[in-house]
Amino acid sequence: MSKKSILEVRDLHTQFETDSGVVKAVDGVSFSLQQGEIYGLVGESGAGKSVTGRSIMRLIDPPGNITDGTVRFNDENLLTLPMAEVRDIRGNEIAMIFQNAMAALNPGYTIGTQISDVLQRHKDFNDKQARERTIQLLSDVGIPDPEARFDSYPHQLSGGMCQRVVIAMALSCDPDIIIADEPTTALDVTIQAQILELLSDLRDNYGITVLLITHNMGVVASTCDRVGVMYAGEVVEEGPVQDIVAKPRHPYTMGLMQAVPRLNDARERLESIPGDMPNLLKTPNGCSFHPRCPYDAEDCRNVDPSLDPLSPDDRSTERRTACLRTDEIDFDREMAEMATEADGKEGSPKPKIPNRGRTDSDPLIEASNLQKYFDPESQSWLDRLIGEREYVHAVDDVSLDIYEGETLGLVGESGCGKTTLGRVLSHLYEPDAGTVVYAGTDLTELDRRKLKSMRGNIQMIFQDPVSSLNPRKSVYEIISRPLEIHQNIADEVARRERVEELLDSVGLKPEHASRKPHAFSGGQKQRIGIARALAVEPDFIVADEPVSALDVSIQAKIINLLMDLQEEFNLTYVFIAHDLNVVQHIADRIAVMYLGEIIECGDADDIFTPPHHPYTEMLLSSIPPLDPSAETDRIVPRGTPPSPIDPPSGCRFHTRCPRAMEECKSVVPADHQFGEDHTITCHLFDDDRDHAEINALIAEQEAYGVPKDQLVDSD
Amino acid sequence: MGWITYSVRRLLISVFVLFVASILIFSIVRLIPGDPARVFLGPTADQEAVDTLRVQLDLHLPIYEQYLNWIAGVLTGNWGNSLINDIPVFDLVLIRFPRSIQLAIFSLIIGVIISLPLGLLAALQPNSGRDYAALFFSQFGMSVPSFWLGIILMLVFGRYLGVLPASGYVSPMEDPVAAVSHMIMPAFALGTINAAVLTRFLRSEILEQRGKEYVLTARAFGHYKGTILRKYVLKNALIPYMTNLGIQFGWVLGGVVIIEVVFSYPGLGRLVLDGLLNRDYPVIQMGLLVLISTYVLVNLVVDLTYSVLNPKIRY
Amino acid sequence: MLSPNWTMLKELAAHRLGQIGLAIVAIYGILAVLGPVVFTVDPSAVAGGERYLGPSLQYPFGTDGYGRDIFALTILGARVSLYVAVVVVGISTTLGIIFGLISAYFSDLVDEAIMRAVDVLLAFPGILLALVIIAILGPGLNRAVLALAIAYTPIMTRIVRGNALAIREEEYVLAAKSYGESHWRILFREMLPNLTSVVIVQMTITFAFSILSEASLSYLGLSAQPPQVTWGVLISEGQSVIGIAPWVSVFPGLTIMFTVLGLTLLGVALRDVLDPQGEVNMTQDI
Repeated sequence: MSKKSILEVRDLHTQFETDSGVVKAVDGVSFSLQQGEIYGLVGESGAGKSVTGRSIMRLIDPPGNITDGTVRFNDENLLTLPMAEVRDIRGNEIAMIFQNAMAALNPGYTIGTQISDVLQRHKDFNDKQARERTIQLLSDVGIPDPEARFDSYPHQLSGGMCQRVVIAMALSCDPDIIIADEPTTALDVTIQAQILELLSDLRDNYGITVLLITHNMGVVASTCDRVGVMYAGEVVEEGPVQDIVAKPRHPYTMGLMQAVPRLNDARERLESIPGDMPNLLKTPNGCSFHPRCPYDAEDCRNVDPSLDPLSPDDRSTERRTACLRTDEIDFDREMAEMATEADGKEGSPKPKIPNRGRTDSDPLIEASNLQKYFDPESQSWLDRLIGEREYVHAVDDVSLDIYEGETLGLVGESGCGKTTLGRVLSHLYEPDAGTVVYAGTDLTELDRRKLKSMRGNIQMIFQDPVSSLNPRKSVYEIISRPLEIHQNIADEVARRERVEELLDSVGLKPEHASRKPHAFSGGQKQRIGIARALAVEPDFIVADEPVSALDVSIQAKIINLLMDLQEEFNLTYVFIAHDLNVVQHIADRIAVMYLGEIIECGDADDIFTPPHHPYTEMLLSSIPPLDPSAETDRIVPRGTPPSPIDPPSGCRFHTRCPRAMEECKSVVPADHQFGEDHTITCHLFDDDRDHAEINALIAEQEAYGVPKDQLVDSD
Repeated sequence: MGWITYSVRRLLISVFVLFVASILIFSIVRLIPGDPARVFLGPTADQEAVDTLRVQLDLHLPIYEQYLNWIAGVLTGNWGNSLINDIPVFDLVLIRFPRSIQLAIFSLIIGVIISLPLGLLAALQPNSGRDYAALFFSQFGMSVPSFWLGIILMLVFGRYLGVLPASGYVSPMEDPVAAVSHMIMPAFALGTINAAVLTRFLRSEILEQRGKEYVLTARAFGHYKGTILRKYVLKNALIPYMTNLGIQFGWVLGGVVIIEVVFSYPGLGRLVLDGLLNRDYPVIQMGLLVLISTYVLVNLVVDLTYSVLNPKIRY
Repeated sequence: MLSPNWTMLKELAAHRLGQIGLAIVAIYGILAVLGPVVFTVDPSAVAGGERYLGPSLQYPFGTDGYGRDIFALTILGARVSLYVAVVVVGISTTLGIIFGLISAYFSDLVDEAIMRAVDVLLAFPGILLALVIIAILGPGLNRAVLALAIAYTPIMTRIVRGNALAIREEEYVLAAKSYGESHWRILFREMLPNLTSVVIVQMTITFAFSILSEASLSYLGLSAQPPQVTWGVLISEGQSVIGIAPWVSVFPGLTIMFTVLGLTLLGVALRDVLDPQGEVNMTQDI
């Protein structure tokens, strides 16, 4: 790799003046991009990474202000250049792409026009040349049928396709640098893998330097060459990616690495970083991480550490860290401890972790042949009367047993129906067909009154900490209302006592009861939501993406809390998530959903090591590995999920399946019992296929599947 | 679902709305407490005259037959005669409707001429002096009663300055200049509120567009300010502005009733109001039905145009 | 509940447009409630004063053709307008909340029925719906008030429904369902409190425009009949003598304008404070 620095950011300061004071979003950031590398800027929300990216492009609007620093590009300081010259550089020499590609494209013009416009803005192209070049670009970024797509409007494309269009736009003028701000965050993991692959290809084929801004450690580890870790507006550590991941030299980086759940450390407690991100209005004196740092010392509270190179005897001089106590802390021992805990005995087969649920007893919940269809949003009553009625096949003929005390993980891409299934199981939605039998009682047959009392046994935890609490009510009102309904605690004093007890069990304080939700951080809000679910002393909880809106360090705490509570109150969970790492970490059994159907279900270990169903395999190989050295023959997933309004015939997965056979297109596959309590719905496992063939298949999968020691980040 | 299906659906909705509106308008006569014929003729009228009127109004038939007869008459142009002067309602409406439409369109044009530059100027520099001036105008324009504004205009330009005729109507076929000069004041009195509403609307639409992510992207790709304003901000802000024009057209159609009274303008609005004051039910019914049908039709056209202009509309 | 409202009041008091709006509305309110007690005038009697006197210290707005003090009459009109606005806002808000919430919460048939009814009512542009109702009921102040209340209900219904639809999807509503809360309580305890901002803003705007609309109706002779005094009636009376005594029309008109201005400014300020993302829907001068 050439060491030529192409962009140099020095001592960048960007502030926002708000009513409540000055927010120092970027507070003295320095780093440089080297020709042809992918540099990752990683951090949790509020770290200032996006503002850094925008500051480089001078895209800061009032009340924001770049107050200090230099951005050197081609011997010019971008921050003092006249605006007209900056505009000539934007999109031409430095291009930027954003998180939400669909919103980044003008809905009023075709994608072809928009790319051509950029070309004609910076290059001397006539219409015909621009069109040709645009079609070439669309084809370069892997858009099928680029000629026809030229005239498509953004809303006619999926989110992943739109991101490809924006990347094509960024490529159009052969820029030196692309700044990619969370380019895959809004996308499903399968699509994310495709986009990351594309970005790597661009670097390899065109020598483009990429500044990749992300919160996802896995994305960084699998894609970047060098990494800067940001915290509270500062870069706290920088270095080659393998060093950052394996040998962090800053307590924050280490905390992040330990908080990330990985595929093979099932059901261990996750390490978590105490406390929350500091309020950027008044960042702590000294090292901004000290209030959360386990190695906090007197000095740390007074001296703001600068980002200094590690001692020269370290493997690389490129390593820089901003910690006063780097030399005193034995980072490697800490990381090694974690690694041994996680890996168990390397090489030997992983001991099978016993399922906590009693699979031998009768299931707590028996769901059979559940079906739930919705009317498409665009279909009005008139269409239903006159037109051919269409349905969104959200849940289609799903049968599932859930055993007392276990955690069943429900995974799949967005739109696969996992949320709907969760709501049918908790009887928030009435199924169109099928039954949910809870401890011997058929919920679908209950009358209103009995159903209401049954609701005391079944609860939900929701995804969005903001939306799940009524902003007009105090925490006390929120938690005490279910108590009033189900526990018949008429006594106000007793109720208050119970609320405080519940707050205590989720790690909050009694005085929190009188506050309104807006006074709490995301993680705390999620705790309140959990306390509300616990209030009625349920046996069964459906947790719908309970951690996906939270930062990694907070996420770990909530997962730990959920696991502790399960043990304490003997709860049964259905845990819905799109993030395989999280699910695998917490679940005893896992059900994989695709387009409204469960295509594989079994013990967590059986599902992933190795993966059997081609879709499970695709999901798993989409996860960016946390170990940068892991050379995997990853299967880059194909295509996007088809519309659930008109699911494909035969096996619904056949349109994307790398192993699709002729019969998959027409014949609906049957469920196959595979091993103990492991069901697969796939023609590959049809009985008439010979067993040797199946074993060979599995061996093949094991051979090129997922590395055993794969460490993976959560989203 | 394609554009055709959308259009058919949109058309069906309009027909449905018109159908229910026609029932409502038909019911006006039937909902009047007591015998409508008696109410109209007064307590002193002899029974024979009342009975004749009952037959004339179809009141002796069962209610659904009354409606079917009525709607058949409406569709064939047989709209009955005015109870006051026995002139066919169809003829009355035919003469006066184009005059009201003229006035409505003229007011809308005034609304656009004022709001377009004003909204644009305001939104380009939010919180600047000219922005406040535009908002100030908009706020006052929305608060001033149109009929009072008409009277004041009449007082100032008609009586004091004498530059414009205070009232009346001249057909543009006869004398285009006089026609326009007769329409300026009523159209302005009517159009002020539209100008005010549209200014505010355009301003906030432009500001919303300026905050969109695709505008940020356009900036990140180095587009010139003018390009961004034209192709990104204005194009996307003007589409909802056009839709709002359709709604404004409705308010203008309602407003003509008042303004035509102020300026003694012989349009459909005055016809309806005179009908109301004289209990001339056939005139009231057909006048209202024509005004409402116009509004429904205009909105249908606007919506269909919108679906063509805006590729993103969800059919 | 108390503390955020207190901050909102303070924010409102700090809002510059809100200050102007509040001041105008306060003067209007005080004059409408207490004014007629202080400035007595008997609208049906022919006053002893001289006819068509111009504005003076004794008669700040001048006198009309019966020699009555127009200032006192205007204040009397303010009380009528207050009555009109309170009743119209009260009825349309109550009905709008009920229909809007029910429509949003119980989707499908009920929603369809309510929303199509709203569509039909809103197809009568501007003041025409009120005219249809007056055509049935006949002219008169209370009939005009009823007509306006009916005309404003679909607007409130639509606004409440639109916002309630979004709130219905909030997870706290799902949570309430999951612990067995009744429909009634979900509607009025979980959803309604989160609609208050939008409803309050809309109430202010309806207040303003119902005053404006009633003035139009009484100008046309479809609302209050003389000798009952309203702003519209005053302006209508003044129009015939506009050449010799313009003040008869001018002052009541200015009064309407400033009252409505104060209310709409208050509405905008309330929106800024209560519902910063929202946009005031001003197109409802019916």
